[in-house]
Parts: sequence; C-alpha cells; structure tokens
Amino acid sequence: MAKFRSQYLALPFALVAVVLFFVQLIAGGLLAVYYISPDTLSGIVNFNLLRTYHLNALLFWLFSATFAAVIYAVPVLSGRELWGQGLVKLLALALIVFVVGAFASFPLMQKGENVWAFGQPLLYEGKEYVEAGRIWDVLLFIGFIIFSLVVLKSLPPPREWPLALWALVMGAAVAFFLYIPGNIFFKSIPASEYFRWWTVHYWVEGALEVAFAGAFGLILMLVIPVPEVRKVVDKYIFYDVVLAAVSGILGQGHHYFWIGTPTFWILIGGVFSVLEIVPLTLMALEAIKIAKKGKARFANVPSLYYMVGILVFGLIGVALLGLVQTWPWTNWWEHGTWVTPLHGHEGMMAFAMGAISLLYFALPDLTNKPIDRTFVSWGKKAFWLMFIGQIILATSFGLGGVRQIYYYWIQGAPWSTIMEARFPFAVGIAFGGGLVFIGYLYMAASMLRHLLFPVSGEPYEPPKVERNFLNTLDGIPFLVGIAVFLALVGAAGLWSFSSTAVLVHGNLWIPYALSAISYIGLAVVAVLLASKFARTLEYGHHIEAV
Amino acid sequence: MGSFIYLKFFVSAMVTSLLLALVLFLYNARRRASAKAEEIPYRKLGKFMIIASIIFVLAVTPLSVDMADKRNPSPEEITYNGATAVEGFRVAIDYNCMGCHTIVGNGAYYAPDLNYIARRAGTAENIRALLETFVGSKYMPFNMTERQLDALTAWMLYLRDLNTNNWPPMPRVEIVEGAGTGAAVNETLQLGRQIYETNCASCHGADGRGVVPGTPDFTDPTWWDSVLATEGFEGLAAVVKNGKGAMPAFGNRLSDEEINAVLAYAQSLSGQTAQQPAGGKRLVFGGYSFEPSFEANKDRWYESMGAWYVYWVITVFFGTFLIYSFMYWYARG
Repeated sequence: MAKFRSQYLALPFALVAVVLFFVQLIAGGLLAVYYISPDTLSGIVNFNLLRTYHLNALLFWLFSATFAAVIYAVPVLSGRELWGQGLVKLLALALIVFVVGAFASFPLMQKGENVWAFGQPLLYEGKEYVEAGRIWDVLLFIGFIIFSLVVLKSLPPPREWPLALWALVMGAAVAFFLYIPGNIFFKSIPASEYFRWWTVHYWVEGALEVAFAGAFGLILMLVIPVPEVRKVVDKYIFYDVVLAAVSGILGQGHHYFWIGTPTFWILIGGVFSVLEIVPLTLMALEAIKIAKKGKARFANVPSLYYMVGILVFGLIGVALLGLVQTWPWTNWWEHGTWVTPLHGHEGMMAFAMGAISLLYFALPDLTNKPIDRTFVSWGKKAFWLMFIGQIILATSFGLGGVRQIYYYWIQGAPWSTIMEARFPFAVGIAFGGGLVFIGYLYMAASMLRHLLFPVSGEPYEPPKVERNFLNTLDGIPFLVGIAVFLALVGAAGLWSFSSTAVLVHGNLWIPYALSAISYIGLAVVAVLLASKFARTLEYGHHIEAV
Repeated sequence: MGSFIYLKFFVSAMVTSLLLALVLFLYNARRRASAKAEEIPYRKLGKFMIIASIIFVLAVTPLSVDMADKRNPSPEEITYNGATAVEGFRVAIDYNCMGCHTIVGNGAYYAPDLNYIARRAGTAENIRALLETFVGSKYMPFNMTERQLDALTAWMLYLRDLNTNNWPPMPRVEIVEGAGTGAAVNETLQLGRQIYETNCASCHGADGRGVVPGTPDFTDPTWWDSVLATEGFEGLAAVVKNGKGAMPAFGNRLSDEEINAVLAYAQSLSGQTAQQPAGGKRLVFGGYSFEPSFEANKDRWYESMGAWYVYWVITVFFGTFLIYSFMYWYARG
C-alpha cells in the first residue's frame, strides 16, 4: 500500500499519459499509411495534421507521465502528504481541458482558420513541436506554475535536498521556463527558429539529461538505502549536470548551422555538440557501477527493463546517432533528410521509456498488488516489442535518408524520384511501428489488468538461468567501444558524399555501405546491450559478479 | 592545401592530444596522491562553466537573430503584389507548412525543402506558378485566396534570400560566359524541345526513353552522370555534330547554340533541370558542385581554412579523450 493518500493523485495523470500514448501511435500508424500510399488519406486527414498529433501527443503524454511520477514521489521524499491537493485536482482538470482543447483546434489547420490576436496565433501554429496555440500555451504554463508551487511547498527546505533532487527540480524548471521563447511569434525565420530550438533542444537537455538523471538517482537512493550509494549518486549527478549543461547549452549550436544565423555558430556547435555524448556515456558507465553495488535484486522487473531502455537509447540513439550527424561536414548532407528522424525516433524513445519506467515503478505500490508472473512477462514482452520495433523503424528512416541525400541534394531529382527511392524503407518503418504498437497493447494490458482486476499469485521470482554472454555484464566496455567506432563509421559515410569518389565518379556504394554498416551495427549493439543490462539485473548475476 | 592538411594536420593533432593527455594524467595522479580528495572534485570549475556558457549564449543572442548584425533581408521589406513576407509567414503558420515541408531543413521531410524550392524556382513568377499548380491539388488540398498566394510568394522570396551558409546543397550549374539569364534558360529549353521533337524523337522517343535499340535512356540521371564524367558536355556535343554509329551527323543542320539547347532539353528529361544562372552566362547541366547559386550565400565557411581549425580542435579533443581514457584504464589495471 502506498504510504500516503495523496500519492493516489498520480493515477489520473498516468491514465492521461497512457491514453495519449495510444493517440500518438495511431497518428504514427496513419503517417506510415502516407509513406506507403500517399493518396489514400490526402484531403481527409492531411499529413501535417497527423504529424501534429503524433508530436503533440508525445509531448503531452511525457509531461503527464512526469507529473504522475513526481506527484507519486514527492510525499515519499518529504515524508508527509502533498501540499495543496485541491490544486493537484485542478491541475488534472486543466491538463484534460488543455489536451482536448489543443487537439480539437488542430484540425482547423486543414482550412487555415486560425485566430490571431496581439500578433500571436491563438488556436494553433505551424511550428514543429510547439504547435499548440497561444491560448493552450498559457493554460499549460499556468499548469506548470501550479505544479511547481505544489512540489516546492511539499518538499523539505532546499538545504536538505540531495543533489539528485536539485537536478530534478532544476531540469524541470528549465523545461518549464524555456517553453516560453519557442512559442513567441517572430517575423523573421532565423529568430523564430533560433528561439524554437531554445524550447525544443533544452527540453532534451533539461528533461532527459538532467531531470531524468535526477529522478533515477532518487529511485536508486530509495531502492538501495546505503549512504555509499548517495555519495556515488551525488557525484555522478554533479558531473552529469555540469557536462550536460555545458555541452548542451553551447552544443545548441548544431541547430544553428543553416538557419540563417551567423557562421560562428558552426564553430561553437561543431565543437561542443560533439561533447554531448560524454554525459550520456558517463551516465551509462556510472549506472553499471551503481548496479554492481546493489546487493539485492530489483523486484520491479518491468520498470527495470525500461530504465535499461533509457540507458541504451540514451547512449546509442541520442549520443552516438547524434554524433553521426552533429559534425558540420555530415550535417551539411543529412540536414533536412530522413537521416534526422533516425536520431529523433531513438532519442525520443529514450524519453518515452523513462516515462513508462516511472509509471511501472509507481503502479504496484499504488495498487498494493503483487508483481506477479503475468505482470512481469507482459511488461517484458512490451519492452522487447517496443525496443526492437523502434530500432527497426528508426534504422529504416536512416537508410532511406542516405538514399534521399543522393537523389535530393546531389542529383536534384524531382520529389517523386525521392519518394520512390525511399519507398522500400517505408515498409520497414510500417513494420517497426507495428511492433511498437503491439508492444503498447501489452504494456497497456499489463497496467490496466493490475489496476482494475484482482491479482493473486506469487510475486515473480526470476528463474535460475545459466550465465552466458547475453545475461552478464562481460565485455560491456568492448561493446561501447564498438558502438563509438560504428558511429564514427556512420559519420564517415555521410562525409564521403563530399568526396570526388561519390560526386564525380558516382561510387555510391561507399556512403551506402558505410551507413548501412553503421546504422545496422548500432541497432545490433543496442539490442545486445539492452539484453545484457536488463537480464543481468533481472537474474541477479551482478550480485555474484562482485 | 590538400597535402598540408593531411600530413601536418593529423600529426599535429595527435601529438597535441598525446601531450594534453599526458599532462592531464600526471596532474590527476599528483592530485590524487597529494591531498585528501574533495568530496566532489572540480566542483567550483563545474559551476563556473555552467554560468559562463549561459552568459555566452545570452551575449550572442542579439547577433544571432539579426538584431545587432544585419545578415538576412528584412521580411517586412520583401513584397509581392503588395503582400509582405511577414503576411506570408502567417499564412504558412495557419496552414502548418512545416508539417509536411522543411523550412531551413527543419520540419517533416514529407515534402521538399522550401528554401531549396525557392532557390531552384529562382524568380517570383516561377514561385507563384508553382504555388498555383500545387495549392488545391491532392498534394496540398487547400483553398487559398489570391492574396494568400501572393503573400506566400513573398515569403518564399524571403526564404530564398536567407543567408543559410549556402545550405542546402544544389545540383551544379556550370556557368559559361555567353548567353542567357533566367528567362533565357526557359527559352533555351523551349528551343531545345522544338529541335528534339523534330530531329531526335523518332529514334530517342518523345519521352527520351529510346525507341531504336541501342539508344540510351535520357530519363536516367545516372547515365548522364557517367557520360558527363567520361565524355563531358563537349563530347556529347561532338557526337551530335559528327554522328556516331547509326546516328546521323547534325553538324550541318544545327548551330552550336541549337545543339547546346537540345542537349540541355534532353538532360532535363532526367529531372536534372536547371536553376537560375547568374546574369549573362550560359547554363550547362549535370554533375555537382558547391558553386553558390546565390549572391548572399557566397561565403562558404564550410570549405575554408576556418573549418579545418574547428576540425583540428575536435580531433585534438577526441584524441585526448581516447588516449587519456586508455592511460586511465591501463593505470587502474
């Protein structure tokens, strides 16, 4: 049983998150229909409308899940009930009004019927990731303020906070306040894009690298209440925050190469954005170190799997696939092609896995039901389907994007040729997306079953499994090294488009082969790493290893 | 520049990284040995770095958004039929153009990049004609007013003129002194088409795919790439002039200018159409270059010496990182 009544206030937020995740996947599936048969839906539900739903459902369900996790965690951290529980109920209501309102006004973009006031679009705006109109933005921002108020009032005084909590609060504050600049209408495209990236990029930096790192530091401290762990967590959180902040704030420059901003950004972005892989790699390595210190199995296996998902997608998807395309020389070719969603989909999945992990972590405690065999096996199936599906989807995007670069930027072929060149990979995208969707069904089923139906049965006890390469931590540094190498191969693949071998002699196999080796290789390494981490921790092999 | 870069570049980068790594390693070793370790080493340095980077970004923001430094045209000054580019941006926001297209490379990748289209179309008339063709079709099923189309035209002209460090990459236009500006290119293609249809279509096919066996497929861009790489435009012109195999010689029937026109038309069948040439110059199709298509984009920092300095710094950083981590790992055993 949860210790505090106010922890149950997390449930409506969690429910909204699960529903919005469904909306996101449906919109994504319809987008895949567009890739395979462009005419079917045209005029009924336009591509840009579906994409707006796909992006915004993702953002809102991540917000919602984060709210849920924090509302669940704060009473435990402070040792008392939440302050202002009425406000939290109001917040839940406001969130639903916000989501319904924003989603209901998006279809107006099919007719272009927006309302403008004070030089701002009120109902929606055609800016990637920040499509919600000004009315909804204001509502959401009020929500942020209520939320911050509740959290800050409920927590113990800041003097007593561990660093992990500082990271969580600061990361969240950054994400909230930098929601503003991206949403202001600027007349000039460079200004508009410049500030839009403040919002979008710093969400990733603030929320993923800082706030999530803080959240998992806190979970570790709750699960393993040893003073030594707090020391290790404090130290790694500090370095993570410093490196993420410095590399992230200046590495922002990699969005400013070609948007009409001055050339010095190429220098700043080119140097510092490369550093962005460091905190994420550090996070992965520190996590192993901490895991090895754990003297017990972590009972909540589904949550554990998804934590591993953040780690692996953070390392492979965010850091290394980002490294492939962050250099000015490779970004020149890949910018504006399908290579970008390769990084985007794996990166966003790191967020998604974090949110799912938090939901799974809170659920058994709130319902006070055992973590039984079915819960675990459905949760694991959900994880593997989502993980592998997303990797197939993202890799298809990347390989299609490399062909697009040739036909688009080098040949200057008409758009129909580019669509044809990308078509075979659209099938891969649809297939991967289908796997993710089945994974979602497993996840939702396991959660709803646990929430609504009586669960009897023994708590899940992992079977005794013989140790092998796939369920121990052997050779992890080697695999990480291989992954870094593969990322550099991928960068070389994109860079090779500038060579005479490709431009003059047309040796297309060079970029194609290098990119295929890199992207498919990274996909395989990701699956290996996830398997090794997750199963080592599940079977408890890390305990004997120490 | 090539040999300088490849020899001195890597040697100097590697030596610097090695030295840096060594210094770091020795410094850390001494630090560990001498004092009792702080709880969190480098705590002050870390905090300072965060604050310094925030201040830096805030300081360069006015430069970056054209407040302090006029790098881009003003959207209010660009107009078409009385509609300004700002008005066009509002229309673009109302119809969510970014949800399918990309703008300066950011967006949905489902439709072509708008800066790219604007630069290829070149003139306001061409942009307007494109908009008229596609708006209302199944690709862009919208009902827009004339005023909205004018506004979008102005906005696309603004996008064309942004100084984007010469991105996106454009197919090559080899510029030869001679005839033809914007309108003349279309005239060239028109002329080429007439000549093609009367002289060439019977064997090569009206669509360029070839009727008689042994004729090449003009719609295949790779054929053009290979033949332009091996024989070049001049070689092709010589074939038309003197004939080859079953193909008769056209040198006595067509002038040089007409031969160029018909070749340009034939190549345009492959989709490698021309963009706007600079004034007073003739267009030759094919291949690829970074040749700036566009006045405001002449600076190509990308290929300059400055780019190599950046690359050097990055290489040194990574070299140091790799060597240092190897040392660290070796020392720990």
